Amino acid sequence: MVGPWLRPFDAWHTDWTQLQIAPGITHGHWLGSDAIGRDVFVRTLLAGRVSLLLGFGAGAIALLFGLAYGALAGTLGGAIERLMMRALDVVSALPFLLIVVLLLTLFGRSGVLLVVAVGVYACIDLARMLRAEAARLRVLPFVQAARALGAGPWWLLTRHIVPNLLGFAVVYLSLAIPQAILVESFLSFLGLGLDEPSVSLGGLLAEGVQELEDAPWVLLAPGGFLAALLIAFTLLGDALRARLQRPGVA
Amino acid sequence: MSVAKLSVRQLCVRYRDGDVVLRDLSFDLAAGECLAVLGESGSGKSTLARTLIGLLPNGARTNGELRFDGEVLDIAAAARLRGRGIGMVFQDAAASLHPLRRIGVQLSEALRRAQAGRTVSDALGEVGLDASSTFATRYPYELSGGQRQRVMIALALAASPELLIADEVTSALDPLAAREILDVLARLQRDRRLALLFISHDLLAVRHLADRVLLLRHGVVDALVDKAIFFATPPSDYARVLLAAAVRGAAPLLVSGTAVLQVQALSADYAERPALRDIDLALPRGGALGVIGASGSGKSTLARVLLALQSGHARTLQIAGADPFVLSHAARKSWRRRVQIVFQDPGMALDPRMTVAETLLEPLRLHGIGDATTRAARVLELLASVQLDATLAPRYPQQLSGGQKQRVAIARALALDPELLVCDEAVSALDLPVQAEILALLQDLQRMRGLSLVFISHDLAAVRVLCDRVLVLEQGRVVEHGATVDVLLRPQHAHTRALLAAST
Repeated sequence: MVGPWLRPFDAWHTDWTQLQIAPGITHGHWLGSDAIGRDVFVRTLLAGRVSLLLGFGAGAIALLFGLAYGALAGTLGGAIERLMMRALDVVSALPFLLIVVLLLTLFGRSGVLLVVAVGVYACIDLARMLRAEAARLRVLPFVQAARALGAGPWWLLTRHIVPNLLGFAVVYLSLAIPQAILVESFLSFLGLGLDEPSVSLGGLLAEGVQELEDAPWVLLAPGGFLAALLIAFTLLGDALRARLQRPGVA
Repeated sequence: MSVAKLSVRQLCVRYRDGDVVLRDLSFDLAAGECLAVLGESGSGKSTLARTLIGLLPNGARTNGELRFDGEVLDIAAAARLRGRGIGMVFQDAAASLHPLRRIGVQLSEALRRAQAGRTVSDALGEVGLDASSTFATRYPYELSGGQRQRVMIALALAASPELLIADEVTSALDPLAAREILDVLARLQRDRRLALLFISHDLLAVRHLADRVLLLRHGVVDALVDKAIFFATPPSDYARVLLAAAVRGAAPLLVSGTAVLQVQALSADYAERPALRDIDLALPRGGALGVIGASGSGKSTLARVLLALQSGHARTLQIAGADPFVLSHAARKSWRRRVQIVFQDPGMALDPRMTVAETLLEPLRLHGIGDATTRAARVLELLASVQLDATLAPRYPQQLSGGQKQRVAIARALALDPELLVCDEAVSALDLPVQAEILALLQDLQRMRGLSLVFISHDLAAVRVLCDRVLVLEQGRVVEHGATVDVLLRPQHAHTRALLAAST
């Protein structure tokens, strides 16, 4: 996030005297520059910011819809639950990437569409896992006791099921966000990502591949950054899980 | 006592967080002898077992001397002897067996590794199981709890150990299955001259099996005496408390009056299989009905139907003045104020994300009773009525003991002033002295509020003290129904007699 203030170079500034400079400290371009003289370090940080933003956006959408859908199905049970889950099976049976590619070509490339598409993709798995967890909670004595007290489905959902699902959902989200980042990078790599001048890590990777032979650092810098980001999220997820897991609950 | 098979001297065990779990523990155990280790949860019973088989958690430190057959039993020796010289059976047989392998395969693997030269059918026969080859092809989930526990014993015996440690092996079983396990253990101890370390909090089992009793309290030996002496003249105050909690008063007299519960020809399913068939029962206001039966007899299904948590069909169904299955949505909600339930497992009975106060406020909020001030006052009143301190109100369930949680669950059930309270094994998961307290509390509530009780339990002693009438279930059918004194003293049906024999 602090990238732009860290280095004096402008991400889109082309310096025709500094084409494809190798990484080094002395000339200021720490990770070198690309074919048209833009600083790789600054562009990587900036693209990382865009990727993170897209990932969090998609994660938020996944959490919202996945939690609502999964918790509702798990709480209601019975025929409605079966119907909702079969509907989910149908959606997840569709070739997701193909559809996204189609949508992006049809409606033009847009950040919003990209975030929504990736978010919906992530929410399918989340909904499924939360449904199973909600169904497990539903038969526990404390939920049954609330039913015996006269609580209806909506009360159970908002007071008991969702609060007890949140920890579980957050842990899962820490795995879903890096997945969303990865999917988005993949789409951008294929050239279906954001329009210039904004660029995400996938877009940078695509540029890097073209210069692979002359200037490998243009590929390696965003690649390494992406890998580090994904590993960081996985570690965060593990830590959260260890933290939130209490016997019998999350 | 000739030569001690196992000798323990000044054993101290300390966990990494600094808690001393066992302190200055010394005893001997001879071949062919059964020493019962008695004590409530947290007294260090299981730690003793883990120390002997060298399976203490990381960071635990031991002092003192352990000898097995005269040989020093350190961690390395314990690891060598584990499963050979020393066998161990745990409480939860379902978790200790590989769920996806046939029991015959698991047994033959253990026998082969021990080079015992015995066959699977020998091993099954020895623990009183069907020795036919078809039985050995079953998976653990196809067995009953008692059968699984016997397979565990057969596995532990595969390598012909001389010391067998049984850790709460009967606690999860109904009385009939538990009695069978005790008989198997008694026979093995005699035939094989096994030294048996029998860890339990079940006085009945201890009385049945033990030669001597070691009473543990907070990790310290409270008493170590012969069984006869322990039960005849309790050697310590704590032993007296334990025994007093187990021996309870006589059955209450039959209550009569207008019916709070009138059920005829009730049938219900559980998991798409018939669980209850043609149940007739009646309970007058202020009465207490005990429902007994082995696990799987339909007791819990009955509780769920009485609470309208699952559906059932009956010719007549009058629960607290109405048939909940024909009521409208709104009418059923207000009907729920009159019938409440307390479940078995206090650990899961309370929402882990709600404080005690929030839990007790929930029924009041649900039915829109009172405003913020009167509700807060009601919470304090409820806590007092189950003899809990008001300072517990802001705590979460994880910060409460099992007995405290169960009291909160009872308070929640009382919040709406019900006429009928259904207790589904409400004390089974608690230690004996705590059980006695909860039972006394239920008795008080019954007397003071005129509450009617349906008390579902496999603990006949608890039923005897609390209930004026008893219903005996076997595989979803009523086999006996009558006044507690009649049913428990002069049982007519063979199944009732078997249940009684298993619990005395």
